[in-house]
Amino acid sequence: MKNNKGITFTIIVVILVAAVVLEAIAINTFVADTDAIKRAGRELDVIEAIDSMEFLKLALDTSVNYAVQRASYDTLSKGGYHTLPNDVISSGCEPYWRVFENNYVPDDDSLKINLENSIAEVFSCYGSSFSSSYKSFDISMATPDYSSCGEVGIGETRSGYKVSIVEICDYGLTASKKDSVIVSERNANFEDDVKMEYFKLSSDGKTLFENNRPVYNAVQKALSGISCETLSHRGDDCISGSELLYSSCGNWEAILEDSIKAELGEVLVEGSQVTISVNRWNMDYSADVCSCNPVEVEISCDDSVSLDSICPGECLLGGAAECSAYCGSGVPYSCTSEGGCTCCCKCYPATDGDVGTDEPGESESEVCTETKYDTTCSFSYEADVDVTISILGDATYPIYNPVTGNAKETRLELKFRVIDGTLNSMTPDSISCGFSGYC
Amino acid sequence: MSKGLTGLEISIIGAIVMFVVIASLVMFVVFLKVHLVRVLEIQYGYNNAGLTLLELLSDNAVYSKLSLIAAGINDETWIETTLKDRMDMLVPGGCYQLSVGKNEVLHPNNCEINYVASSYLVLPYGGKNVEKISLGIPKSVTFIQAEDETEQSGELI
Repeated sequence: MKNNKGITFTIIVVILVAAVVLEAIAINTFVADTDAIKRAGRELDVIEAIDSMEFLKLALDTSVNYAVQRASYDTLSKGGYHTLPNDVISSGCEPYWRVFENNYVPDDDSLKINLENSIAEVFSCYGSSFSSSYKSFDISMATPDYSSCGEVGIGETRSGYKVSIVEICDYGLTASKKDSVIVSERNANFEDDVKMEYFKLSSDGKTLFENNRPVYNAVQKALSGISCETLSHRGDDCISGSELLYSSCGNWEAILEDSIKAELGEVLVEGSQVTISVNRWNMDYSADVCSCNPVEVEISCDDSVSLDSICPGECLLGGAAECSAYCGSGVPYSCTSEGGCTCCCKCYPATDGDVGTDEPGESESEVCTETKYDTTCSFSYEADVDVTISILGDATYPIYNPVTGNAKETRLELKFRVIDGTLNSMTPDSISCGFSGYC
Repeated sequence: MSKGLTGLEISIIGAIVMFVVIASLVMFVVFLKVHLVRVLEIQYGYNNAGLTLLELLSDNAVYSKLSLIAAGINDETWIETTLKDRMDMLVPGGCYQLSVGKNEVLHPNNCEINYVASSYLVLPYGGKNVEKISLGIPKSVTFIQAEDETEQSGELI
């Protein structure tokens, strides 16, 4: 009986202990749903949201510099334009800054505004990219659209420039975790000190082309020094100016191209690297003054000349001895392969009205001549060129390279086109740019 | 005829009942504490990693360099010297793992990492404009604010 009691007792104790443990576990499960635990979880969400706001601000701080670099690079490569308006003549994304005497150089205000608009747009893209990425952490972010709600200010400082991006719509920045914890920051303004060559490069371009025509001057100088200006030709007949040009100076176009390129290479701006590359040529010439005059040319006795052509009459056929006897001593002769002989004989004036005689020994001799024709022309040339001007900066900036997929230290480059020359016939290409903005 | 409960048995039963009552309360608290400690430890670990990453990126020079590395302009010398020194200062013990994108930038001794915090770096514009950066730290770490010399212990009470 005692044993039964002992076993029962033990079982009861075990059951009670088990019940206690189960009770603790069960109550804990309910406790997990209490406010204390929920609050602890919520605190984590708050900290995450606050941290993400701080990361956002750090990202946008750095984005100012990157936006300036990218905006400068793109705007300069489009000749100082953000997006090329329809009224700007351009070939692709290269606007024409000059077409002969017409100047289309953007003014200083436009250059500044175009850069500012570009900066605002790129900066907005950073905000939206960062916000989209944070969705992977269940965090929603909202950043202003600085293109429509931002004002970019560029001020010169002692060491460079200060760029400020100010949000004018008062939206601020927000970060929310699971849509229940929202952290907002009213101040959505950012600024940074940047190094910028944008204004220097655009100023160099304007110095060259706003009130000057260096391309025209280079073309003109090249034309004035061309070696194919006066050409002459002696032949059996008169020839035309174009025949004369192409027979005596057939590569005149190549000569002119080289000459113009050499002169364009001399176009300089102090302190900057300028490169001018020719996209298209138009060239023309005119034969201004042409004359064709017959001229009696002494026949060289070194030439084998058929007797028939200068001394009418039959050519004696015979051997060398007969030729020598016939032509007279001292008169050069040659024997043809057919056995005939030709004499470089002196023509004797006819005394009886005959044209000439092949009989030596008569009166005085004259020099054998033949009639040739001297054609002489003086030419003038005209040329128009369509060139791309490139002005490179000194410093390098990390610019994304779509070919490699990485960033690369790259120099800024101002690019635009010019048409100029003396022919005044070339018209600009009109090809749309295809750039419609960022993001 | 069955005997009634003896005095001893009643005492024992009383003791057991008291034990059950007290144990039911104590066990509850013990389990609760274990549960909370576990939750807070994990919270604290992740917060520490997040704060350390924030402290690292708060330095403009470091942020710019890491951003360029993420964009493909590498600088091994800077990573092995300046960045490593900075990380050693922020995470004493020299156990951390810093990754940018899919590339591991620093992971001394391949030590065990328990908590990882992540954010995004902005890159030079074009292609993708942001890249993920992650910092992993081990279980117990002391978070140091580099600006002033305040030290906050990471150990739990």
